[in-house]
Amino acid sequence: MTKLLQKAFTIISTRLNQKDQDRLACLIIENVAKLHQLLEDEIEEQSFDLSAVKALESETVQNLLKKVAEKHGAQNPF
Amino acid sequence: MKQIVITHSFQKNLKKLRRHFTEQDVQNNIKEFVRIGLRKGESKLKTETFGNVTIVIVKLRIRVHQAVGRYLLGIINEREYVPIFIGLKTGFYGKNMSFNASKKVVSMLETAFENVLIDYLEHTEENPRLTRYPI
Repeated sequence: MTKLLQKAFTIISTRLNQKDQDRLACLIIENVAKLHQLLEDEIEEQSFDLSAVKALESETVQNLLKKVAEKHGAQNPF
Repeated sequence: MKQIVITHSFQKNLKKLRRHFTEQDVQNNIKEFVRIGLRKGESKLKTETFGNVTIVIVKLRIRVHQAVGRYLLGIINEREYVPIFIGLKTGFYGKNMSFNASKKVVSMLETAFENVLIDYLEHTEENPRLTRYPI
């Protein structure tokens, strides 16, 4: 077992009561064949989200968003 | 009145996926989002405020028959719903990567944001760059 996984299980054991620890263990054992795909999907999803946020934070996109907000504000005055 | 705003750039993006999704599919999906809010696997990515105007960017799922996709939607003051980028959920964007942003994907999304926002800004009645559909 990697040190990181050990650390993760240690954290889980401090956060979950014994009943939930057993539930989690059952869930992992029952779905062990699907775990790799689950990890791939989750990583892919998070990577896409982070990429979208990074794209949004670029100076060019921020300047354009500001102008869009100005145009929207001018066309839809309160 | 709430409106869906489809820009020419987004239409070009959608054209690449015409075998899977139509503009009507996207419009129906946005209407469903407006009605019921975020569903499983969908999330609010960022909120930007400029004076009295708030722009929220959300990531939504779209499923038509066997095709599963996701798209980014900009919501301006809960009034205008502007789709920005649509892609198939094929695992392409983060395959074999860690929980990090990918330079290639960031650059692709930056271009999509720029093109859609420029269409929005440069749209005039004489030079239409977008179409509005009431919700």
